[in-house]
Amino acid sequence: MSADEAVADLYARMYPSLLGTARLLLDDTGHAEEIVQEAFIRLRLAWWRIRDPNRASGYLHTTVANLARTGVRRRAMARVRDPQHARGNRADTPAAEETAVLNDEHRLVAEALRRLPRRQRECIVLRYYLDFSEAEIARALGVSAGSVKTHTHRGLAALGVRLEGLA
Amino acid sequence: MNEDSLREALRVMAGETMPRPGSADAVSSLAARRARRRRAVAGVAIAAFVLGAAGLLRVGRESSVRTVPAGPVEGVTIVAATTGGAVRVVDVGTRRIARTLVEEGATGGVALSPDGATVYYYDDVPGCGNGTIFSVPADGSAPPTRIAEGARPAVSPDATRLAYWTRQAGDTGCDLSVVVRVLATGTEQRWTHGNGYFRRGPIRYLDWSPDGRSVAFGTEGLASRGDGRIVPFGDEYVSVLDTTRSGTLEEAARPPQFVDHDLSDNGRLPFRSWRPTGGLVTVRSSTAVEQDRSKPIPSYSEKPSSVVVLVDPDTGAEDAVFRVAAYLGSVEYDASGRWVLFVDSERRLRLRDAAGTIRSLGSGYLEAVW
Repeated sequence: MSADEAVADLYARMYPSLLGTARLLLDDTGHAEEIVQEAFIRLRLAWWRIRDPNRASGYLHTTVANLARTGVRRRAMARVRDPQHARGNRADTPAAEETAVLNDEHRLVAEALRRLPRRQRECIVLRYYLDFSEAEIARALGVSAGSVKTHTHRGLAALGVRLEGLA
Repeated sequence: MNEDSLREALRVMAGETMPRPGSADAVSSLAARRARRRRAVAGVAIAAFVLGAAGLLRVGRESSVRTVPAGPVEGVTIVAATTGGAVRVVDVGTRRIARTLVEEGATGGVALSPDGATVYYYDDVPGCGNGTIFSVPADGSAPPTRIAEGARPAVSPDATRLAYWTRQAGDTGCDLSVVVRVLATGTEQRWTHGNGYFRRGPIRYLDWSPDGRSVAFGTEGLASRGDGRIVPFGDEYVSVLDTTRSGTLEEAARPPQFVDHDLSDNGRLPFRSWRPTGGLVTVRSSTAVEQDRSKPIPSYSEKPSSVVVLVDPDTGAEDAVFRVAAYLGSVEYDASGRWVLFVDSERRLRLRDAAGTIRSLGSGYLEAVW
């Protein structure tokens, strides 16, 4: 299988979950598709080093998380530098809400997720959306399993506190 | 809420979107175009070098910037981090990118082991979070390995220890720690700030003394503007940590003796690195504002200027080395103490050789090390 064929195969299989991941990690939806596309372009460029679809999966998840983090940070810096300009450009609703029909409970979850610190949000999304194990999350994010456990625990606690009153 | 309902909520929020027809093909064509562009940029750099050497191309306005034949820089390579977070090995003589070690993740900076075999890099995280430090072989023979959560790694001159710093949310805000890890065993020693002045953080630059006993670090000082340029910001402070001492950071680290020592003005010195042959490398920046009265409405322009000054850590004696018409980020001397790599406020990577000639090695860089 050629590199293009291998990447195309991964694209078909992994695109929905990677796009969903990007949407859950970002504050605005416009960048989610760009990020996933960019992740696959970088995979294609790095295929000579990777070559293994299993390693490619980890590479893609790590890249999406890093690009989402960079995108969030750039927009946060834009708000610090020029709050007026950034306010005009900020999406009115979080990424995940724009294309999904959410009930009230889900809307509260989306709001609470958006307020989580970056690492907690990443751990929660990888754990409960992609069903990654702690070790897989640690590899994807480049942190220790212990850190994953801590961030996940704190994220769940924060979600539970903010959603107090729901079942 | 239980875990199952959280999973359900996330699945609904994420949606189930299939790729658009033809988008997979777009990945291949965009990747190919980007690869061609990289080769073209490398070709232009080579052409510029050749034309410049033949005197056919002006490379800069500063009178000290000129191209010179490859000569003594043949075969010399450096490691550089780009503003996009890539880590590259760059051939100084040809100014070509010898290889790219990582495509992303080095948004904080890079360090190199003394034997040149291992590159350390890290991502930069604002606020009170930690970046992650990775290592990767300089020959690209293996993928990166996660080393620690933290920032500003620096390998000791004897290559046995790695110094870096971390921060964590504490009772009084963001707690700052300097860590030294013995690479062979993984054991660490940590100095965390007490109730003293180190709380101000973050650490911008950190480097070992040539004898491997001390770590100098500088806090605050620089900020990146929206356009990515570096500008001086606030006061910069340097302290020297004696790694043979234990205790809090205030107990084990001191501003250099020649610097005024009080709570409001501790160790104010814009530190960048420790020259391998001795001397704290510092940068003194200034900004002149020029007025253009030729237009109906006068306009003003900033004229930045920086002087690289070597400071004796014991006596405070200063030696001004060279001046550039820019603000400066990283400044790194090579092992001989005579060649200097630096990144200016326009993110240009530049090299000053032993003769004082300054040449450009490219733009879009964060920092570089020998």
